[in-house]
Amino acid sequence: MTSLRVGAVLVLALVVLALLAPVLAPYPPHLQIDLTNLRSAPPSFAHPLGTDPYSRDLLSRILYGARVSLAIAGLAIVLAVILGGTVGILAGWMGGVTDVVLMRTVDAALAIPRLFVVLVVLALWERVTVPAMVVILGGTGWFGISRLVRAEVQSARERGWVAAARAAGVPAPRIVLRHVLPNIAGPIIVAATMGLGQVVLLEAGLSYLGVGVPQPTPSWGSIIADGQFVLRTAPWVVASASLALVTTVLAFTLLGDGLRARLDPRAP
Amino acid sequence: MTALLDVRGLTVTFATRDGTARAVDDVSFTIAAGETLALVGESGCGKTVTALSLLRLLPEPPATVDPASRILFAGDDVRALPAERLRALRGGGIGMVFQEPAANLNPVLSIGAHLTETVQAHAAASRAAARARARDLLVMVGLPDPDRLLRQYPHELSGGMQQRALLAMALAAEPRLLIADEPTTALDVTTQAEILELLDTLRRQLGMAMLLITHNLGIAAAVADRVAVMYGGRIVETAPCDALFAAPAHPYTEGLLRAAPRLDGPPRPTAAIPGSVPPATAWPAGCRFRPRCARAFERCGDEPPLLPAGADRASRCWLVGGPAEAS
Repeated sequence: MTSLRVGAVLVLALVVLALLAPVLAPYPPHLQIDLTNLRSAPPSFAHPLGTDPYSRDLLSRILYGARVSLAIAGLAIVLAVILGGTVGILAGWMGGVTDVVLMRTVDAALAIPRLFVVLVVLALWERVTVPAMVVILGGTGWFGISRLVRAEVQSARERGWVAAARAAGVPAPRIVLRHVLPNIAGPIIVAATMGLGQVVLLEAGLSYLGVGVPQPTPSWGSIIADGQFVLRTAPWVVASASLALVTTVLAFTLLGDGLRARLDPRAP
Repeated sequence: MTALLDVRGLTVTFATRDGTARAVDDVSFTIAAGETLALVGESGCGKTVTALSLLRLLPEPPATVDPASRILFAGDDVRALPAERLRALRGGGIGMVFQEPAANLNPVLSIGAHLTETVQAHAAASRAAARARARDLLVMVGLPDPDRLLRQYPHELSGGMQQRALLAMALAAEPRLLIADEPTTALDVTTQAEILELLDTLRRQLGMAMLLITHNLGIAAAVADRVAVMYGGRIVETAPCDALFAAPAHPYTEGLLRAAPRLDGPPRPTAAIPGSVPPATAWPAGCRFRPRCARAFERCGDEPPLLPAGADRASRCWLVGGPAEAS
């Protein structure tokens, strides 16, 4: 239960900070305050986290970066759950040929490294937008979820009340919506929460490589990239963005772990 | 009069690791409108598989229903019904209640949700109309305080109340045939009697036919018009209820009757049938009951067909008609 509480508080704090970024951020995130005198400045009262090598206020960039990172990760996971859920339900409920075709396709997709696929697809854009990023990360992130959903549907469809509903002539889509989905929601929520941290990390990695949402839009990955050449003289640039990243991934993992303990009675 | 349900040559096999299991083997029976047929037999004799295959509820695979099997309900070939008509048949033409009521209600849905869902599956009813109908159904199955019950969840009900609610669900669309698969097995004895009486009353009231599946001869005797005894995936004897209990024609039926204590005659020791049911993957050659039958003789190496054994009855035993031959 402790990990649930800590995770929930951290996630909530992150979301609030991201939502309130326009209020909390002392400067606009793109503003280059003083390119001659204020590059890679250490933390001070005016700039609590210092500034980056382009003379932008780091706190403002981290706060706005949270918006970008969390929005992309959240929407990508929603998309992944919709795609993986649909495929998993179809495969698990229909069984037979449908199941074989869908699951072998998923197996094949899982055999290709995700980062490779994402890099290739990202190369199609000159300037990647946030919606494009969501589609790419969501579209490549549902394979594991579909397998999970399929397994859960397979066990849920054997329940007595599913048989009773079928015998009573309740239409199949309704049985899936009312008798199957609510009973498998727990594991899906857990997987989605755990997945959020992974997507945040992946998005940061892509931004770090320079193929993510382009500058000057702040993203934690691109902030780390900005800071890497001044790592010895201005370590706070890399450190603050990294700390934000680590905290976020940790928060989602803790929340996911806690939810698993709460929602899945079979979990250890 | 043509039969409401006409099952001919129903054969269901399962592919298992130990080979093909012939769970139901060439089973034929009919049920007339308003009639109660009890399908009786030990665990594993194929009763439930028979019942499930009538509504095509068996997962195929692993089950395989032999293509020569014919299931006719009110003239419709159930095996060949398109998906939407099959759905309408389930609950609409044929209702079904199962054993273990607690397992057949979704713990996260209220009783009202279960019932309105079923009502709306068979009639274009508004939410309010469906709920009113659900309330009437609860009254019909003898549940007190229906308004409160509609809001209650399955765990708040006793086993008997749960089974009544499931019966209300099965009857929501006024089916012409009710399949009751061991409907009282998971209940305590007094509740069993209540549910049984309710089934019989409702059957009369609604003019339904009933296929009652049970391993309990007492239950069969209480409500059935006719009894079909199953053993090893086959029907071994069918007879009108009274005739069967008065004079069983098949040694297996005889053994079942002798295994049950009688209250209406002089006390006598009960006797179990020796041995146990062989696995469905390895039925013995010839008569399937032969290894356990005290009266087996050479001819039992060939499997007997269902032989006529008097008025409206048949027995799958060479002893029929010629017991003298046996001795």
